Amino acid sequence: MASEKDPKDPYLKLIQNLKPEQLESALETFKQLLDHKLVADLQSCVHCGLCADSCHYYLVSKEFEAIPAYKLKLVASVFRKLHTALGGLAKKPDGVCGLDNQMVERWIDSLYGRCTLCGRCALNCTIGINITRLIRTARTTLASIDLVPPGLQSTVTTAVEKGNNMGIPREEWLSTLQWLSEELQAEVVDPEAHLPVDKPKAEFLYTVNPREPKFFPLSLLSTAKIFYAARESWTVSSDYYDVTNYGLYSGDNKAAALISSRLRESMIKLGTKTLVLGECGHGYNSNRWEAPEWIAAEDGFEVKSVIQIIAEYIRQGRIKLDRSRNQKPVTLHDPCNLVRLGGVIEEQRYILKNAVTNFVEMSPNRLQNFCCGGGGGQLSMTRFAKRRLEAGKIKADQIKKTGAQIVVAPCHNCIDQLSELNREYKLGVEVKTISEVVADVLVIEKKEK
Amino acid sequence: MSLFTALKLGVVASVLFCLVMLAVMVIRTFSFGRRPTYAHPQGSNFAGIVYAFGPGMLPWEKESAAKHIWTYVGGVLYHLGILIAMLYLAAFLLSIRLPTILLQAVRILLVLGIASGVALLIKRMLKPHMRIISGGDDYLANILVDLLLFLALATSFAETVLVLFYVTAIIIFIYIPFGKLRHCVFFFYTRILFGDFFGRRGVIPHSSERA
Repeated sequence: MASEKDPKDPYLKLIQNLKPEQLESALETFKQLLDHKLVADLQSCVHCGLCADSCHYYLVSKEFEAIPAYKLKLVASVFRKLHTALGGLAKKPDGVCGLDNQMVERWIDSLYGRCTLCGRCALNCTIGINITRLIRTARTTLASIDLVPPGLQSTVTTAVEKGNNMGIPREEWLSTLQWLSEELQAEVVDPEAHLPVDKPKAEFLYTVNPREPKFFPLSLLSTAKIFYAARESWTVSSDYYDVTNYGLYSGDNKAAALISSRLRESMIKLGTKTLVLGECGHGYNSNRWEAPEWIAAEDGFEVKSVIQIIAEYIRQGRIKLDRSRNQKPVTLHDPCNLVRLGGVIEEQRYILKNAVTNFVEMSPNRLQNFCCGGGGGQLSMTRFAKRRLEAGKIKADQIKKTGAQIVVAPCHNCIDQLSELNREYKLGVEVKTISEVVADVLVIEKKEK
Repeated sequence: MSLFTALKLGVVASVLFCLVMLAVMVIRTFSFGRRPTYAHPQGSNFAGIVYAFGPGMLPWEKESAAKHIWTYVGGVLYHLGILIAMLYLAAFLLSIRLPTILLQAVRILLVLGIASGVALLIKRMLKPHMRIISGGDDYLANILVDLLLFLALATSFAETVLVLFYVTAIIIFIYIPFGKLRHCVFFFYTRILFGDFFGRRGVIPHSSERA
């Protein structure tokens, strides 16, 4: 593995000292996770190799461990050993077959360390294999024997134990909201303006990335300003408001189900009609698409991205924007989990066309966008940080080519990675959320008494 | 019983074996169970599946094809050649004589198929990243199929080679369920799943934009 060659690294020791019963237990989990879709995918690869160029890790490093077909083969060889007559005889090119310590090391290196679960390989696979789902299944297998890389695991643990992934105490959250309410009142010159907390029967419950109250409170203020302008009936929960769910990335389905079910509990407790997810790509994928599967229950309410809500406001004339206030060239980064895996593709473009005068698309974009490199839990796995920044070169080059001065990303994880890329590759751009861009050009009309 | 009759029966038996084995594989795959889906759909599964087999196969919709257009064209010609070889084999089994003009077309498509198959094999052998992801099955399957196409072409000129054409066909039909050639069935299976997954989420059909 890249940066974890230190023999004293306890994680590395853990891998090297795996006991046979742990491997047996992992295999049992792997078996239980298999369904007909995964099994069909595991038997379908023709090793055409065309997926290689879909992966930003491979494009930058040209290392075979990053080729999606290789990653798939790592998982498929364990399946074949388990479930086919000839599987036991089949050896991988590097001689590894079945789930042993060596294979576990390879799984961690390639499936955690060289993949952001962005889905680009799956979309471009000649056959149509859902490689992303297979890789996540392998991660779930590793999670079952506590082999999630430490940084990623601690993010999940914090979310499970503290209720949000940054461990923000309730009092701090409430005081931030209070402070932001005062800021909002000053900005819109309305003493009644505020960020509602635990308001029963509101139209929607708004969820945020804890990075907003912790590090970027003005981002949350921007969204609140938009809701204020739209005269929206909304609320946040005093308890569970974290839109993120790193269980998606760690593979721990139990933790993922628990984290997402808390938002649903808040929905029921407050009697709100719609769960509105803040600007967070994986938060959208987790809570819109994956959570019902983890929890094994249909949602009795709508789940929407705040991007969809803002686009509706503009369409319905509920907010007015003066786009002439933003003359700088603006480009848009498509978060993989929101766009390619989420299906929210055009709303952000519609918003930006109404909010800025000079919108420039990146190329490629929409479904074919390149991952910024911040997904898959990479931001929390410091051991793979060097690779993450290198793989981000593809995105940095895309941004450079647009000539944009502002990069908009409807995802706080992407914003973190893009900000790092901004420094690393000297892009000289501002990185903003959709809400921030919209709030900047919002025309606030005085409330009728 | 003449040698030709025995070989004809052998081909039919191997086809039946292949079909039964593939059916068993599909049934076995289904036996792993189906998990219910709970998330409300945003798009249409059906539209996704139609896209997966239609526009989604075109190079301007799929980056992997657009970036490797010659591999894509080669792949299409190779598979077209295989289809033609199979139909030509069926014509022999049913003692159907092809009119000369049709035979010429068959020969052209077989030549294109062979050239594509060999080119893909060479690519697999020469490109380091292809060698890494390839196993013995990848080479064997390609060589066997190339041989079948070549023997089909040779038979179209000299029916004395028919014996070899039949024998190769028997080997291939027996081999299909055990190697990558099973994608003749699993391609369709997986493509349906692809369309279902992305269609349901409203990701496809949607026009992509590329560099």
